[in-house]
Amino acid sequence: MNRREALKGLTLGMGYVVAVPTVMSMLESCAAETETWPAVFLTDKEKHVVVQLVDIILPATDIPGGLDVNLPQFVDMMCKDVMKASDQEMFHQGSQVFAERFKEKFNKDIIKSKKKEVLALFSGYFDKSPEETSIILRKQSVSLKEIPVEELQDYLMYKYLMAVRTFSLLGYYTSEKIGTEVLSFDPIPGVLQGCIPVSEVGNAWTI
Amino acid sequence: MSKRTNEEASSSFDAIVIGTGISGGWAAKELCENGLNTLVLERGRMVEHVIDYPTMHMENWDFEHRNKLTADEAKRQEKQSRTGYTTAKEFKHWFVDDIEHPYTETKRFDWMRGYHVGGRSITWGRHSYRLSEMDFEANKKDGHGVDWPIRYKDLAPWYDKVEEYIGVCGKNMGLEQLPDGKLTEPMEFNCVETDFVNRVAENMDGRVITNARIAHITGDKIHEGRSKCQFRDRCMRGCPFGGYFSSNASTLPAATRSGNMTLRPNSIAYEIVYDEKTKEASGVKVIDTLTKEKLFFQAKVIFCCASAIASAAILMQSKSDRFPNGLGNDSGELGHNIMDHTLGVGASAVVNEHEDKYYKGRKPAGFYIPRFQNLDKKSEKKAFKRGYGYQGSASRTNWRSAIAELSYGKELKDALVKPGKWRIGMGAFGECLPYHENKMTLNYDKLDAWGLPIVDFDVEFKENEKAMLKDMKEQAVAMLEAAGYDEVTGYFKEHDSFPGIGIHEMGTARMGRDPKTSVLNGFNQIHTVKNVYVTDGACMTSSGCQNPSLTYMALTARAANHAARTYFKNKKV
Repeated sequence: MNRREALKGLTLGMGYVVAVPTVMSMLESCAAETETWPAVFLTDKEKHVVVQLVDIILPATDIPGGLDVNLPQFVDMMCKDVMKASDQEMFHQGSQVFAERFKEKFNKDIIKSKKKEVLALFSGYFDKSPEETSIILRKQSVSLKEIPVEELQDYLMYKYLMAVRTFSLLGYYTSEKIGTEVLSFDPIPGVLQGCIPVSEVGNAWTI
Repeated sequence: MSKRTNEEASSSFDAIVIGTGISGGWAAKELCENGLNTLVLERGRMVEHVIDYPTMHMENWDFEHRNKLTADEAKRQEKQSRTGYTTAKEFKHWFVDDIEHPYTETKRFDWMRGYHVGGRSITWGRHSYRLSEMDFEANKKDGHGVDWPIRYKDLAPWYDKVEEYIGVCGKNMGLEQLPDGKLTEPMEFNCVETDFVNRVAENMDGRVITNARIAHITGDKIHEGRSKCQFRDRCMRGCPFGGYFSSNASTLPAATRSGNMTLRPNSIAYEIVYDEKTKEASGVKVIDTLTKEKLFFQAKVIFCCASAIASAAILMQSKSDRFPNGLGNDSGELGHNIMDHTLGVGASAVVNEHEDKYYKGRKPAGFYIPRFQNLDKKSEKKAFKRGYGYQGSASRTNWRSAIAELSYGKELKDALVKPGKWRIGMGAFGECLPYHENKMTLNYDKLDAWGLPIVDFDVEFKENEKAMLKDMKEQAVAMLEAAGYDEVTGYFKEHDSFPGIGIHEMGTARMGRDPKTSVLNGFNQIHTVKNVYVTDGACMTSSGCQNPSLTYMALTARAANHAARTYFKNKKV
């Protein structure tokens, strides 16, 4: 990443002045970054975190992980093209809440975060009982206007994290690699068999 | 007869058909095969079978945004997206641009439609159920609306003809409320569906659940230019195999083969011209959307098959001294009595069984539960008249079931590549009564891009529909519980179920016995302008609860043969 892009990314929609030392340290951290694609929607900070989140949500095992099918770039494109302007705004605001909480917890900027640290913060919000989960999801389904002020920060942060999670699942399970190499791919079945052993098919059908 | 100049020859036909959807295709085929030189008008673009199905072979990953609309695309189809499925990227080109094709709503009406050759015959649900004697008698018996001028026996041979031609698979059950048909072998149930059918019959007094009857080819009968269903379940994109019936795959090619069809896309019919001297219609005025020219085509017979709403709009725009309120509108019923099926109610459940069982092939439909209320004394309901049916299916869930969760990590990822839990669900289609005050009007304050008035809707479901909706939910829950399933959940999207969403709009130019209370007679002719036939959803006197396309096709075939006979009889004289 070059300096110009980095500066552009930082000022994009963030609404605060960035001190020069922050920029310098950020450029250093970019050197270690393996994701070299230019983001079209995510700020540099968001891009760094989304890469970590994708790897947390869909880690590689004996089958490919989210990073193997370029999910961070997919999430970036979907945010830009598919999200409504109002949702885009909430995404940025939510990512800022998450970054602030990261700073409180680890006393450093999220741009310097390691996956382990992002996971520690993320798991606190996602390791929930079924009852807690349904309360959180129900709150997510109402519109911004109806959210009481004291719950606004949580609401926006979950909007952001759930957008990353939803686009990750969509991008992963509808990707060509997973669709043809992992799932059972049969574009023109030709026959219908209503009731057969799972063992004859293996993994789920590619839809 | 003197030899016509080329120009005249191209502007005069034996018959004109307005519309190329499920009704227009049948009118075209029957008129052409009977030897009438027929002009077929379509307001939208050409769609050639197979060649013009742009998404038919695409996989998920071939769509840049994985079948989602971009925010900019979504803005152009806000109304068309009200169904939640019609404007997915794979289908969106079959539905209109709402900005280019506006309509207004005194009351909300979800008018889902596409402007292209084949119309909604490309995207229809393909479920094909006959109306029964019970349906044809219903209005007369309970006094809602007017009496149908025909009975089941009048339509039965035409149902036979249509089913044999289009190919409908399913199973004859010998039911009074759902007559048997000319069906080919049904698509087999999966393990859960089979259990469900048996358990409901056992635990609910023999209640019948049968295989969906859908217009897909199974079995070995030859259908020219088409082949068997390949179980891709990508029907709405257009089928390269012609596995299901559409005008494009079937009736329009048949009309072409006759040598008698002139198909004219990009042609908006906006007025049927009435001739005071002959007391008949003399032809159709058309706007060519490519050249913006206004043209006039003459014909001896005119078929309105533009859809319930569009056909009524054309008739309403066809004003003359004799018919100041629209062609054939002596009764004042034109544009009134709009019906649709109520939708958005049903139930689903989790099935913790058959975890070692799966299926091969993507079945395009599951089961059908024929009407069981108000059939006889025993099933009579106090709360509402008429009845409803359900469509449903069982399948194993996939990764989408995890969207509404907070799960993440290795366990989630690896679990979602395996077949998920079985789920079973069903949704009801309820009969809507004909109410005079449920109407459309022409809005001359707001003209479209061609200077034509746009349609305004003033339609609502009333007490009978609402009472029925309650029962539809309760019975769906009761059946799933009777089958012993878990997490049974009924749903009724009360604030999200508006007329139109069933995409079965009908009734705007109803058939009837009395010209004072109806627009069309028993052969779909305008009572007072006999050479104009209306055979799409506009003609329906009552709605039944069955998916109506099969009935439109049977009525159209019957009317077209009546028109052809009349045409040749008049010619001899």
